[in-house]
Amino acid sequence: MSGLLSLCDVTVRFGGLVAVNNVSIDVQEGMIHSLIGPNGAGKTTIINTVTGVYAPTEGAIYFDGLPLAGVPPNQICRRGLTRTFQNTELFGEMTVADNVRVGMHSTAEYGIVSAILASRRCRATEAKISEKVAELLDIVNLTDQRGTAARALPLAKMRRLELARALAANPKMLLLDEPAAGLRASEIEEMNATLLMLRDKLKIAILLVDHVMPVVMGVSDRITVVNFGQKIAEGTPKDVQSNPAVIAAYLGH
Amino acid sequence: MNLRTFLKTALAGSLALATALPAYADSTGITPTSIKIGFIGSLTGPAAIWGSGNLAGAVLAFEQQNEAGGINGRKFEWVSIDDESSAPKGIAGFNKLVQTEQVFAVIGPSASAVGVPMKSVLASSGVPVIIPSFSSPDMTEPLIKNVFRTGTLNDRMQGRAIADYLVQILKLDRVAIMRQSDQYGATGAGAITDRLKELGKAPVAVETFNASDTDLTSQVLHLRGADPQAIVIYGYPAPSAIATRQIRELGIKSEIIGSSATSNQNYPEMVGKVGIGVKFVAVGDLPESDDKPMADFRAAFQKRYPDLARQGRPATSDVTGYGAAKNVIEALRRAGKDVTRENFMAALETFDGYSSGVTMPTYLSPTRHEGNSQMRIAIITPELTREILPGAIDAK
Amino acid sequence: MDILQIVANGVPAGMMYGLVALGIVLIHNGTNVVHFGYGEQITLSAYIVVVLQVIFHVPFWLACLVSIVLSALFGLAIYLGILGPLRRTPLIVQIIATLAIGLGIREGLRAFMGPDPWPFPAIVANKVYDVHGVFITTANIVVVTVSIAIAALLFLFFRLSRYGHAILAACESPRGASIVGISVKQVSAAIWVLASVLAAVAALLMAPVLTLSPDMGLIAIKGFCAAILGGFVSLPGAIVGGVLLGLIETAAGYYISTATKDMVAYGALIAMVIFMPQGLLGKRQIKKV
Repeated sequence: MSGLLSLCDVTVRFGGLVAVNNVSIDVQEGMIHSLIGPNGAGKTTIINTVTGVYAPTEGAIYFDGLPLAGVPPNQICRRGLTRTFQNTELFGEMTVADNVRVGMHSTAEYGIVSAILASRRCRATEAKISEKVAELLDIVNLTDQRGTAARALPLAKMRRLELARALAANPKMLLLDEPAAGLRASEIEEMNATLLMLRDKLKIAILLVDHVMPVVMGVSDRITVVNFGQKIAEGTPKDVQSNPAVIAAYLGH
Repeated sequence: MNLRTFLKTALAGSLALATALPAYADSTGITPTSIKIGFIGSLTGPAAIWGSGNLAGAVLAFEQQNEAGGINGRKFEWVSIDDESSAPKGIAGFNKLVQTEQVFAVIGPSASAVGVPMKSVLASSGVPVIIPSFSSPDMTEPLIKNVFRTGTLNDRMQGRAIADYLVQILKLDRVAIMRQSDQYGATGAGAITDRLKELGKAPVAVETFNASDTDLTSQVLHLRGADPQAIVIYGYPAPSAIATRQIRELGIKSEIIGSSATSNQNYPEMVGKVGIGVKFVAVGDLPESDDKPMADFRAAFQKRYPDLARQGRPATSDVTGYGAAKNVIEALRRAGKDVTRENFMAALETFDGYSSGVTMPTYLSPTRHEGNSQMRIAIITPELTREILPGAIDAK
Repeated sequence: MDILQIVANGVPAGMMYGLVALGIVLIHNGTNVVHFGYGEQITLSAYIVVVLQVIFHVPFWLACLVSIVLSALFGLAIYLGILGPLRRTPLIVQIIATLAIGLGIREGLRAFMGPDPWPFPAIVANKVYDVHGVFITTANIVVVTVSIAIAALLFLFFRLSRYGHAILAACESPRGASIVGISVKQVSAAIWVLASVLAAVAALLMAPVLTLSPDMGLIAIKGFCAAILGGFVSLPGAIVGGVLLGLIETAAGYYISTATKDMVAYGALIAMVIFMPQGLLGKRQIKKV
């Protein structure tokens, strides 16, 4: 367990069904680490176990040196690990800017009383928050849509907004669940650029789960392949692409 | 014997049995040492305002009598059942008192909404029923052999008496009525209207409100347009208090007189300063009166029920419950040692002005089961207390 | 002239419906539960004032403050003790739980405080002003001012503060909220506390006008109507719906007949549900909560 996020021999069983079998993954700081595998391979179960939706039946998960088991989702975010969802979980009735603003909830420094009294500190914090919101919207290229209701955005922009909202919490690591699903080629290019920028400029580690190979192969430093709940390969994109077990899994042999 | 003759014979036989029944002396609920009385009334739900008092008052009277040695060597026992302010539960409760508990007589029920639907059940049971407080005339007009009422004044008689008071004593010509939309308000207001018409002074306006209404502006504006000299409010205390306040707040300076339901000990404070000078119908002495019998009752009540005393009780319903039980005790005394339901009811029918001390005198006879026929008028004083005005008004 | 009086009285009467609606909408939006015991929570707060004042001889203002605090704690207790543990049960179970809470309070008050109405002191001495033939009472002025102030404060709180945003977010997408670090449990608890504080304030305004009895909470039926008229999701809508209901009732009572005023008011409600199901200020115009 040397990484920022470490899964140590994690097994998840539902009744008699083994969804994840003895999987270990280490995501290193400042790296983009992808998790791939055919449908039903156990990727989503692994993510849900990391974010506290399921508890591991065996094994342990550490984030930043501390165990994650039993920590409620909202606390996981405060520790610096934020996730996005395959079917975005945006606040549809709120504006784009407000979505990002809410993302900063866990970092704001004033209490409810000073909020009601509109104290100077609170106003100063609010000013800082507005600045940060503008900055994040700029990063994901949504500045022009700041006043639009989130539900009115096209899919690609929803994905980017969810990314901006996740960034608002100042995470050390992002857990992205199929951020490129359903995107067009040009939008995928844009997504790749954004992910690389997050890694290089903001030094954020990313655990990426996706089917879209141009993204996975284009940005990953390291790839873990799972099938039938088991890790079958791990390595650089090149290693993985030439691995016979991986090819077999994807071709269905 | 074919089926038809069989049926005929059976019918004739049961008819003979039925006509023979009244001769059978019924002493259910009586033992050599005890007499069992049932109480059915609303202890919870909206009508608890009457039922809880009826029970508390009645229990006090029976306890006092037991301490004094009981009646004719027998001590009182009692069973109470809560009808939860609902008629179906009232019927079930009454049947339980009669069939399972085998009580001798029943005190209750406590509210018109429960009691009127129970009428046929009460009548067919043959068990003596003494009604302490609710005022629907349906229970006594026409009379039911085994149903009696004491203390309160029925709404038809009360309505007529209010009309007489306003027109004949206060000499007013322009009377308006504000009534609750239910049977209670309808009966009272109907009687007032009929009597006013007889006197040649038809009401200048009749407005209705719901017991749960919280704003009566439109009704009061209608009344204001009719420019009345007096407004009669026939409804429960809470909406009547709102009505009284709004009548004054919208600038109407006429007489206001409330029905007996507003003779609630908290009423003056509920209405507040604008209620000064407002009148209401009182059936009997006020619970806060310093007259000896009432003062004694109040002291005994507050000693027996410190929790209720804290709520400002006794209230009128406590008084009428006590009065009803006193009437039962007196009838048992008159019926003597060999008491049966029949001679108990016959004894009740001999009452010619019997006074419990706290309720109005009871007049009963084989042709009259409505015990009280008098009302008094009380007024809210500048100190927000209540005061009975001299004189009683006869109601017919 | 009478039309002015109808407005002068219909608006405050409706504001009271609106205040009740405000609490109901708040809880519904925040926790998805329709709280059928909200009216009784208001009644309970008023009784707390009476108990403190009459039995413990606490000064009126202090009694009011204590009542607000106790009401907040009571709301928290409802959440922690009943609706929190029930939050994964079907909605109907939760709604029946709120009914039970209401019934328990109502009959509990009747048992311990008696079925009789209690006098309740007015917050400010009630005076009647004659403005060119239109009579206006201080009680009504207070009701209107405080209701508008509360609605405005709540609106600003949700629009501008980060707590407001957090609550809005949690109401809309509990999953989304939890991943950005918002505790949905804390938000639900906060909603219950907020709505219960509101109940206590509403109690202080209503009890002197409506007459305090265990059945005072039945005004919640009108509160539900107001909430539906306002779209059931919008806070300003709750107040607007209340005022509209108050005006319809008063005007219908005056111009049609008092016997049918409820029929007219509920008829308007049914028409609203059929023809404008999103309400006056429904979801399309105004954000949730």
